[in-house]
Amino acid sequence: MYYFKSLVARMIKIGLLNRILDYKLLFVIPILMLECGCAIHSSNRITQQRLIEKGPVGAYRWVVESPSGVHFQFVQRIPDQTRAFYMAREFSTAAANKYATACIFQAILNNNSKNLVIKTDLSSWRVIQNGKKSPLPLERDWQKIWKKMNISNSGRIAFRWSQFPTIQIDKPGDWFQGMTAANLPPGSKFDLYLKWYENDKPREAVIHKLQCADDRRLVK
Amino acid sequence: MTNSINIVRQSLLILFLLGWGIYAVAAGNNIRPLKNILPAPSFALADLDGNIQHLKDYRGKIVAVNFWASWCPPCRKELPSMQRTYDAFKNKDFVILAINVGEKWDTVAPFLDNLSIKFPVLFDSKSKIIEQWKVLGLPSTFILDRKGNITHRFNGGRDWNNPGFRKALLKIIKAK
Repeated sequence: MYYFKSLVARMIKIGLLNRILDYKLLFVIPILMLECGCAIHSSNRITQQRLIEKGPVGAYRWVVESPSGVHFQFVQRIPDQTRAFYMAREFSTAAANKYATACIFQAILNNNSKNLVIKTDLSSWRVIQNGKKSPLPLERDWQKIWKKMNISNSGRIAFRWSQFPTIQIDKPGDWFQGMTAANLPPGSKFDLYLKWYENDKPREAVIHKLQCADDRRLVK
Repeated sequence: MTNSINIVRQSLLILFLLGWGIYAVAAGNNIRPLKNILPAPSFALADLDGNIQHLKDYRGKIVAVNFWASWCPPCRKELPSMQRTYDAFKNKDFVILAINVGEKWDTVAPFLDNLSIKFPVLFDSKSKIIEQWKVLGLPSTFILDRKGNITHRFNGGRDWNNPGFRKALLKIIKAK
């Protein structure tokens, strides 16, 4: 979609769209449609990063879209949102607070490609801050902590399924969303290295200047 | 002359947008068959009334097994469209079994009541069945053929009312 929009913008700029619509360049239409399709489904072009829309609770959203149709979104979660969610699911205040202040994002992966199987493994993603690369704490790492903190089985099940899946295999049309942690203090800025596979071919991208949500009160 | 150019111009634009729209609908709602068709893991789970439902009792029907939770936004979003599709296809040997993961009856029952969900909802309270089915995330849906084999699977919520989705589902139901 990014390429489609930029292509139309370029055409308007050079007056090509007017000329097409003036019936003089009608043959361009099928070529244009083919071009759009190729742009969306080609896997050889550089992944594009779009910034930043403000969500309904003042949370920011980072969007990364590859020309092949793989679409990542990272939406800030305000710590209060996350605290409320887990405290309503049998987490103690201390446990909910520990997770909520670990820089949580709602991650969303859409496979909008025509025929690619997308595989992701969060253990290969990295948080980059001040030149240092750190792995993301995974769902299984958190589970060890929750067990030590005596979180109920029911609470741990809710945690398991509310997380962005550690491993995903998505066919065209598939998508998942879930929480993931960068394990940084509220307000921290960092880059995020992403790796995924498109029909077993490795792809990677770095999202620049993500920021953990500030720990501000949603309800006073 | 100017009029006919305008008509051609508008027709071309409409055709272009229509083509794009059809492509977008088809791309987002397809149900693709699995390459490796395997028998579905069996289960016996309690429904909302406390009755035990065995998967094997649904042999001979096309079964959509959907894993969900009430706190999961895409699950909440797709449930009403699942109900409408169930209403449309329930007389065609099609059934939906929606397996709730990890929640209690007193959370789930009022939630479903609000949405007027009538298809069978089962409870996987200890999250055992979802692990056996190798689900990666919620919601996830599996389509089983009449012999109890998993023939299709999709990750993430869908608009079950989408005409492209309904058409694909009907094709699966009608397949012998």
